[in-house]
Amino acid sequence: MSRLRHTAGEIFRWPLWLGVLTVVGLASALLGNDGWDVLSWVALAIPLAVLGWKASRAT
Amino acid sequence: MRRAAAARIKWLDLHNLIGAVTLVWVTAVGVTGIINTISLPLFTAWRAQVMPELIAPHLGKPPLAKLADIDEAVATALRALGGNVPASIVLPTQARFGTPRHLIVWTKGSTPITSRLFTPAMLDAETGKLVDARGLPWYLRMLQVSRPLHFGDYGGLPLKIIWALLDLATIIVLASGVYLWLGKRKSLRRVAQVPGQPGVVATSGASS
Repeated sequence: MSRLRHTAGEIFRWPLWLGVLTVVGLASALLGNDGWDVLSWVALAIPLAVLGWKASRAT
Repeated sequence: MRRAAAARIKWLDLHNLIGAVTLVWVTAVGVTGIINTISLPLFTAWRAQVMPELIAPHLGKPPLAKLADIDEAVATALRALGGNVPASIVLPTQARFGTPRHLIVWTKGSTPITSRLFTPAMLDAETGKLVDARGLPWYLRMLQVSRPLHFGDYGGLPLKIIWALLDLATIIVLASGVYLWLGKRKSLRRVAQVPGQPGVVATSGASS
């Protein structure tokens, strides 16, 4: 961490974007097939990838 | 996550990290799970509303003399609900899912979302004439669409794998939450036993 103090916007920016991606992923596979399914997989895989990346950096 | 910290801090960071990433998914699965659970009373309430109205004109009449042609009845139902495909047919019955005087043709749509939306058409069992095809009320439509969001049985195999990974992540959040909570209670008790010591407990607010 570079600074001790972060604004609420800085703290919640990334969780918010990951949440938006999750919503997009959950909805898109409902809306259509093929392209919509792929969009859903990508949108839901990104939060998981971020999770794996951040979790593996600790060890 | 903070590197090279104590095991407890590591678990705390992992707990918060996974929680932040999976929050929306957990909420979606949780809310649709609640909707699923109340589906039985919702369907019962709808039936109690619709069935008496359907049966009323037939009260006191003799039993069915003949049965309408099923193929024609299905065709009539599909004409009334353009674009849908037939899913199942309920023949006249005394059971609670039908009526003694009607054929019920359940249909569904053909897109991912409308294939979850089952719409019934009620037809007179003797004449095969359409009685009602107005569809289900909004709360039952919502219920039907919420099912895949709870079970994750849509969007092909990759989505199912993602579902499994999110399930595992949620299990880690729950387990680490219990671990951290139990540890917190223990350290609070230890602090309380030492007189004159300020009670300092590792919290998520601690900066590295």
